[in-house]
Amino acid sequence: MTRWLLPIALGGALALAALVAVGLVARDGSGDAAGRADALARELRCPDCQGLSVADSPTESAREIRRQIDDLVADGLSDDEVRAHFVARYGEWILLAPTSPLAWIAPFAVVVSAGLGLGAWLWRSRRNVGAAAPVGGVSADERRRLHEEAEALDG
Amino acid sequence: MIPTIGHASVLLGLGLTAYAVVAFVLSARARDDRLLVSARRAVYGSFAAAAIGCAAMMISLLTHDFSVLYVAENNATTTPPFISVISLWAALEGSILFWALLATGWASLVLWRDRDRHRALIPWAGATLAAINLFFFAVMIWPGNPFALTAPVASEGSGPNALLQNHPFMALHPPLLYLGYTGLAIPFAFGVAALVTRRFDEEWLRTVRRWTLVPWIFLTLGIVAGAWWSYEVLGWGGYWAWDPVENAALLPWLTATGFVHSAMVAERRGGLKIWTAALVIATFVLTLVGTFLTRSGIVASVHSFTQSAIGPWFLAAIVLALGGALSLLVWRLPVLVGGGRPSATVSRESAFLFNNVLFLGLTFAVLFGTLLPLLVASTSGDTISVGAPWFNTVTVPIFVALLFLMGIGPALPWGAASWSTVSRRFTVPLFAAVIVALAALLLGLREPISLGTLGLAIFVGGVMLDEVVRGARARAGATDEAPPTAAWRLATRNRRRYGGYTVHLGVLVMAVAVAVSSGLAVDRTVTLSPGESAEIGGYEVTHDRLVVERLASDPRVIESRAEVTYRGAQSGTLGTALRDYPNSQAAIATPAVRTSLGEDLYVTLLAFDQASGEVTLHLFVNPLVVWIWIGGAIVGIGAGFAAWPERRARAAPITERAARPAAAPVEGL
Repeated sequence: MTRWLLPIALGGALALAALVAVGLVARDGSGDAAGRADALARELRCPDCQGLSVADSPTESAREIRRQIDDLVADGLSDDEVRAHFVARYGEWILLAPTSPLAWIAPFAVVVSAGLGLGAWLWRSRRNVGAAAPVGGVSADERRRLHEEAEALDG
Repeated sequence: MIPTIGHASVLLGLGLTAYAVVAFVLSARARDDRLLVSARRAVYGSFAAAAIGCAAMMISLLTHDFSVLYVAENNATTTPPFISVISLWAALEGSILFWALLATGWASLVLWRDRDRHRALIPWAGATLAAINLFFFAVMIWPGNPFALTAPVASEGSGPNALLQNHPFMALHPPLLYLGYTGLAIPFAFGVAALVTRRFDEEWLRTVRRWTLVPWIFLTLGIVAGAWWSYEVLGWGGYWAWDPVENAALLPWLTATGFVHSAMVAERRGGLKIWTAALVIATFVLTLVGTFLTRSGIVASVHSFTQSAIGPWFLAAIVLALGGALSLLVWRLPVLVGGGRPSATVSRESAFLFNNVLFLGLTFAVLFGTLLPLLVASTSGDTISVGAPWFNTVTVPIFVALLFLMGIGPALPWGAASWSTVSRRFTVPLFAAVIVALAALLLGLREPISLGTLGLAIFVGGVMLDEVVRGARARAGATDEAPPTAAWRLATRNRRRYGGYTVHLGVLVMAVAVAVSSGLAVDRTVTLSPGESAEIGGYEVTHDRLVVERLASDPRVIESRAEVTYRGAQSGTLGTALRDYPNSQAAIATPAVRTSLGEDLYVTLLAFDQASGEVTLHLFVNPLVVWIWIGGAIVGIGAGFAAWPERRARAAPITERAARPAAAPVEGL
């Protein structure tokens, strides 16, 4: 019976994960004027603080930029046009997230290639172990049985 | 007189640590232990010297001795005694003095505790620790002298950094963090010792694991206390801004956490020696990098309140530590290669190894993001920013993957996992996660990140609970103990495993709290005249009056305070203020936080008009934030439980060693 329970649970979990992913994408795509202005304020740097966004910073200049964002959004500018407006005035520095694709790809490239490398290493050593003769006169089956007993004792 | 004593004690510390380095190295070859004993005593002496130095500085601060430059710059006659005492770490020179106290303290502790153990390792570990301490004493003699004098002596000092005066947490957060930082020199020292003596054995691993876990606890608590301080003091309603100094504390934490996990695989299966040594080295070097980045003024940060000439010194120390340790590693490479390999792709050890990939990936991401503005500026001259939007997007997927591994890793058996084990252990938690998430969805939780994290947390927690219950039941069946007794005995006999589960539970609590508080927080900015009200997240907030007055405890500080009544899930009154300090250009916000288990009401005063009494308030309702601090405490308790010395090991170390070979064949599987 338990054989088909896990696939069902897995299916449910995957469906839920998909729902979360769809929710994340949908949230980024749309939004009313206030929501868009909020999101933009989180992307722009407060000019006179240490790395806080306009949305988070309490300073006067941050609130001034916040008012400008509200005005620009009300004037019908797109998100990219609002960003371009502030980059023209303050430079790239005003954006809290760098625009270069390399800046976004590098960390994931490192994690994924390290993960793949480890996976390949594990896969290869598994095959080597499988091909090898029983270690110290103990067969693979016996090792597994011993192992499961040790696990059970271990709690 | 007092400053002279202080300076003399620093010189004494320098001399004693220099002697200790030489004596330890010589004692490695000597048959006679007297040299080793004298080197150890020199380290105890350097701790006493640092303590006298710190005491001299505290007395100078408490007596407002403005002939000392540090006191003149960080103290005033009106500074309250408590603030004077904690001003020891208010700025660079004092911080280094305090740092030296903790570093020599750790070195003394480890040498005293292991005085009868590891005869081969101790000389080299001691020499490394003494050399690190020598560096800090040297910094205090040359570029960062805390007892430098100034003339003419002013009658009034400029007072401590305004941000440091605003909250008692300043007494807690830096010492915890420094205890973590300085303690992580111990695993590094043992790593160097093992590389020199080629003793990368199980005993080494156990020693280093414990001496990593203890500073790790302090580093964890220091980071959480720092986040809490930031939340209570800075007034922006958040607790983590990906500030370079926050990142600097996180980096060694990530590698140390990776080490704690990989050490378990290394202990079980042997092997992974290069990796283990590299993690230990990286952790220590990253503590230096953090100090260098923030204290040299090379990156801007809330913490870079002082910029000074110590930058090149730290850079030299980093190059020396990294270069020296790596050369040692390469030199010993022939001894280190080889050892056990995991026998299956799906097993607990491979889960640990993937965990290491993720921790190191996070380390790379955080380091890359912190240094990117610097790299771009030095190559193309452009100034760019890398802030919260980048860090959140890049690190959240990795954190989620770690959380997932945290659930499946401990439930996978060592060696190889069969399909039946996997399905037996994961089916019920997976169902529970799906059902709880669906229920939350139906109850109205629509925010995707909160929903996803909640489901994941239920799954991970369910797997863990099943592990604990299964173990307790097996023991209760075998021993006739009542299940709670059985569970407790099981836990105290497997401290690492159950301590680890407790740490994971704390992490789960923090993860849910972070996801929910960042996803479901509401905030709005309102301008209110006296008597007017505003609504926020089920609260009605009424501005009663504006009060402008001098602080009773420090009359140089003017406080402008909005007195507010709030009604809702919590009711009462609060005062939220802006304080004008004579040595700070901007007024410092003193937010009011009303905490409950469900949510915090957080009110910051942004601006006020004294004539009309009108105030602009930033109102937040942040759900579950208190659970981040509670989760942090659970992590600390769990790690403390795991690091607690086991009775058996302490009472009879010899029997344990004798018993080990018999157990090894089973463990090695």
